[in-house]
Amino acid sequence: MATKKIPFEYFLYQDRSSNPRKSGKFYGKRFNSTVLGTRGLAQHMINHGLIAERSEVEDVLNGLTTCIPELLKQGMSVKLDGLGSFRATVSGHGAERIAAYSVQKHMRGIHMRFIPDQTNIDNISSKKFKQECSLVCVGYETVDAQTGVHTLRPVSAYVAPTQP
Amino acid sequence: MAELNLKFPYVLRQDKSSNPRKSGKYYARAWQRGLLATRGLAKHMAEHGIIRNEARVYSVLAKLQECIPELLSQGVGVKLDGLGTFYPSLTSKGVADPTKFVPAKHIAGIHIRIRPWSEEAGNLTSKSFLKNCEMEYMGEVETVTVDGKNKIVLHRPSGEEEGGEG
Repeated sequence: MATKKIPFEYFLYQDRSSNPRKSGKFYGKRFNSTVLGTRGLAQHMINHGLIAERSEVEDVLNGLTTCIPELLKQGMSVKLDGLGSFRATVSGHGAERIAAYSVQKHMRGIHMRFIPDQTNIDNISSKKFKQECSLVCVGYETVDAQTGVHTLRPVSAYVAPTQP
Repeated sequence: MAELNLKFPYVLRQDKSSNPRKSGKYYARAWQRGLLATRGLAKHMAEHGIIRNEARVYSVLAKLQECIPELLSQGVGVKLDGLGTFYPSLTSKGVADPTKFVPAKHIAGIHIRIRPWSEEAGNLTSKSFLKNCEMEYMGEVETVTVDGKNKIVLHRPSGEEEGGEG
């Protein structure tokens, strides 16, 4: 993993919504659904030259996952340079008057948000991050109308439907 | 920081939009107490006794910041138990014919997203996160324009005023 650059695989799916501007058009979507857990990430970091025992790296990662929520709960934001910032936002309903505002009644949830780093060197905002990826199309998706089975076919095999 | 046990600070802000359903009503917003960067986080974690050596913690976090974007750029998600899963998502323009799809032209961007941890223990999805926070009302905020720049002013219930970031 440390030495091999793996491409970012995507496939094309056809929009089947009722939106007349979108329906029938093909859009890109991430194909690979591999997820690396804490242990795998620790091993990956060591493979990338981090001089540490895997247990030590796992301890730091586990500590990170305890400390970030704890800090967010206290109204702090956390920024990991080169990666991004974590912050909490509130969602809910409005109250007619300040005195009428009740957390139980009007507040719906507290969301953990992640904002990618956008500083010059480490910019990983969506447009810049796209440039870091080596994009490979693995095909387009077809859905069998009767069985609902999704199948990927090579884009070169696409035949445009004939107009009635 | 490690010894502090602060409540989640929120403020109320009056909606001044033209939306008739919202305008005039007061909505809650999170109030940011401060920002902790990598070095501060490493210190905080060392104080928590995770690994006593702050420099060791920092070196792991520094490598983490390199490796997560790299894995995501390869389409690999990263799950940190207790925090959530980082994953990349695509936004693109649509084409009528897939053979005409050109990534450089039609893929607008690749976003880094996080799906909060949703297991029962330590659930960080919005409703559970709210239940696990102790809330503290900080006051009312309003946006004022000073020298052509928008500034957020906090009016504390005590009558004090202060500027800050909401």
